[in-house]
Amino acid sequence: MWCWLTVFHLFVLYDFVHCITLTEVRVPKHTIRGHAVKLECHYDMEGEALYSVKWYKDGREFYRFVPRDDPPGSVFPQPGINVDLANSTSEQVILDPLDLSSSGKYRCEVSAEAPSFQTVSDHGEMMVVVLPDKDPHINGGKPRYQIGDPVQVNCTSGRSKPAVHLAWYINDDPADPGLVKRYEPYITGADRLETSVLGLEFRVKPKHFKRGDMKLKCLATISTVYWKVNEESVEGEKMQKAPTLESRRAMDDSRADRVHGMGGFV
Amino acid sequence: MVLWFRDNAGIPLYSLDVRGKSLNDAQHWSAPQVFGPRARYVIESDPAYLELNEIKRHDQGIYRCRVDFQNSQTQSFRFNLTVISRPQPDVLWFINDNLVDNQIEQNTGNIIENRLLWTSVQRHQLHSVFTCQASNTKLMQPRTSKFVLDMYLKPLVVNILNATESLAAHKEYQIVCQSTGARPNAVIQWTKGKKTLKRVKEHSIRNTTYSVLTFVPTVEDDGRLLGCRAQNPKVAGLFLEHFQNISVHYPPVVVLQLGSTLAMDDIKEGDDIYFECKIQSNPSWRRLTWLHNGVQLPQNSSSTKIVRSNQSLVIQKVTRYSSGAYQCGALNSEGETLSNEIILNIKYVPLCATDKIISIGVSLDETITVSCDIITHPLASKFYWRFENSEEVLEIEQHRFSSNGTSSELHYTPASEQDYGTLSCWGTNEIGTMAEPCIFHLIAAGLPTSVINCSWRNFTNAFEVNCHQGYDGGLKQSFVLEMLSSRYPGHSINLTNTEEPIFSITSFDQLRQQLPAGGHRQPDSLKLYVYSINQKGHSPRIFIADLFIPATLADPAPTQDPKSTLLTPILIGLFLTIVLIIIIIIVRIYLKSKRLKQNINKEKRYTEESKNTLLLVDISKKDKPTKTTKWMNNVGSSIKTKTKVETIDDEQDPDLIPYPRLTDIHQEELIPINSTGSAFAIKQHNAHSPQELEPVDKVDRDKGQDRFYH
Repeated sequence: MWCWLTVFHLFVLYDFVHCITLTEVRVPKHTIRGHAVKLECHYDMEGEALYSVKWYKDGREFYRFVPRDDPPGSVFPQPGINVDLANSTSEQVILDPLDLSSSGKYRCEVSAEAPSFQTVSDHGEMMVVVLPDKDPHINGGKPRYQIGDPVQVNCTSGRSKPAVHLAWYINDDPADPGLVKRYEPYITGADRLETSVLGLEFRVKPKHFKRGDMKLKCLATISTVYWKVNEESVEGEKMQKAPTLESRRAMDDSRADRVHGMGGFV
Repeated sequence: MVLWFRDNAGIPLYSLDVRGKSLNDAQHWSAPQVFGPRARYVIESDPAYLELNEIKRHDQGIYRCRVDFQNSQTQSFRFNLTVISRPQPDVLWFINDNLVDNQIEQNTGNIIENRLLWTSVQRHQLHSVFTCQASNTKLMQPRTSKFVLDMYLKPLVVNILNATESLAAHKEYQIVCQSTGARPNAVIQWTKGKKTLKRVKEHSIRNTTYSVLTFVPTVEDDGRLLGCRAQNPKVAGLFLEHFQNISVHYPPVVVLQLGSTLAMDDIKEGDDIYFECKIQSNPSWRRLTWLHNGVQLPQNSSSTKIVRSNQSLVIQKVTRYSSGAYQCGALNSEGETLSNEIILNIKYVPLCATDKIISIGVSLDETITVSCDIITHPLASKFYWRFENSEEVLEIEQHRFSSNGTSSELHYTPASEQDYGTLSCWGTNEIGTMAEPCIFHLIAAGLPTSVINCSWRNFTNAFEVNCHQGYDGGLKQSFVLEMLSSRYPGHSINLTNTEEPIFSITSFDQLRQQLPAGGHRQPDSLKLYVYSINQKGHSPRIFIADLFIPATLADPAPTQDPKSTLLTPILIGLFLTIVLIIIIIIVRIYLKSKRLKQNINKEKRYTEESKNTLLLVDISKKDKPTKTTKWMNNVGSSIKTKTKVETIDDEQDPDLIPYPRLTDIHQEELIPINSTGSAFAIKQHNAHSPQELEPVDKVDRDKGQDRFYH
């Protein structure tokens, strides 16, 4: 509102003054350590001349694009900031590679030229993620169960940052929250990565063996950047054949490397 | 580059552009809509500072300063600007110097507001002074702003004065209505019933309004409601009303009605009739009178068949005497009023106009007309005649008589003795036939018989004759005493007595007067006869006696009567005087008329009198200036003549006797005395009486007095 008011005044005084706007500021919420990220800041000058585009991380300027300067782009190093200057323009900044300290609040500030020096800015949060090095692992499962037997299993994730989010599924249905036991993730290593553990305890009922066997599935996710499943299936004793515990290959959708499910044990 | 921002405004409020310039040449720009000239970035000092002048309250906020370095990271600094009023004032409301509100409702920007809500304002708060006071230190006088409360007020009092007592109808009254307490001054409106009255005059003194109504009450206004409404002229709902009942006094309004079952034209003898007297009066009436033909009916009605009750009058078994005009009258304190008249014409069976039997004398073969007159209402539709004598009764045929509503005429000719008898006549109308007929006795009429048994007495200067009458011949007779003179044969003196044959002469001079003039001195002898006379003729004379009238003893004057003996010399003298005067007047007029040739107005008047002649006195200015008098000489007939009449201006010759101003017509009438026309009497008529005319001859004239001219 202020802008328009001011523009009106300037319109009266200076002719053809317009309000510049930011059409889009794109800061990905999660990025992966070691990868690159493109921070985008699209603006509409509405005919005004551009004075500067400045990028701040956590309030500190790390990249600047000033058309008048030569070269126009300039970088101010900071921990976690590795700017790919060659591919950075007035409308985008490439950070490559990312490390954990690259996480933070990124702001784009665009200023028009004299006389108004209109300035607009916007920001976004970015978190750099470390993906787990291995798939989620189920332990504590027996090969054979009878109706009424207790089931007590744990699902353990790989080391990551932030901690992996785990979820249990029984026969592809989400496990009842009362059966699930939560544990605090534990931190290990110099880089202080986190490991998540999720327990599952229940008694076997006939309904679990509807289709002949009971499947226990563990799902590991980190936001939208990591998605891994590990599954074990168990046969009930009342069935004709001797139940064998077979594990299947886990499926994964992750953009990262495929992690294969481990086989079951005898 | 240094950019100053306020809060998150997109456009910097101040900019310092040092790109490619030295610090001294830096370009400053202060956004005019923010601080404009109030802001100044001082870079000469260390540290540089942004100076803001004339801080206003709304300058308060967060300010950001962004410094763009050429080769270093951009830096931003934030400042929190708090603006303190120096110091914040108290804003207070006072009403008539009493504090009523010290709560501030709004304190934003440059405005501190204290809202005063004052509910249910009362009349006594009119002209209260409301003061808003802002003060922040005792070192300075507080600033105030005030207003005076004005209110629209409803009238407190409205009153109609001087209209409590009763008003007389059709009299003009001035009634006053007053009202106090309205603001602005009330406007007064008068109403009577539902109607608005317009004859008003209004005036105001201070906060009281007076309205004077000119009011003429009518009879219909009695009992109506007179209203006075005092209205605040600015607000329609603020008004007060006062009502008053009008009491009007008036003389009664009286209407007489015939009983509803009766028809005015259809009442006959023997019917019962009743009247109702409808009275409207205020104050109440107290006496009711009934009038028949202007005469009050007696209060006590026991004698006649008249019954009064309340407001009605009953007459039982009316007769034809009950016909006439009826009225009722009512009396109250305002007067007495008589009602309309109701005229009754009561029908009855006809009656004979006379209750006497009429004798008609008729000779044989003489045709007479017998007229049967009746009194009747309604008119008779038919008549019935009957002839009756000792032998027979005969009904007379219709064609022999004619009739109209009130009489019937029969022509009758007796041819023989049997045709004498009694005629009866009955009339019939819608009510019935006469009970008693009109009766006519037809008798043979003849000459009367002579008088009988006459006696007479002689005195010195008088005598008496006394006889008895004979048969009158069937007709009315009268008696004549005839005195035949011996000395003057052929000359007779007659005395008549219509009732009885009795005569008395109290003095012989009476007789002497009747004789020719020469017989005054000589004695005479009169033969006295008496006879009776009726329509048919007279009876034979009866000789009574010879009457000797001696000569008169002293008879000096040759004139007839004693009166003229004295008068005659006077008359001669007057006559000569008159003649003399006439001569004088003629001469003067002759002289005057010469001088008046130019100034005479001629006035011609032509009159036609159907009766007698006029005296002409004529002055013609053109022709001859002499007076001509024309006497028209006529015997026993009337003449139509013209009169030429002129007026003479008095001023021309004041010496002249003012001639009769003949705007009046001056008439004289010549009446021949005897058949030869040798003697006349002049009868004077003045068409206009009041004007005193000086006549031609200066004789005192009594109007209409006869005079003799010879």
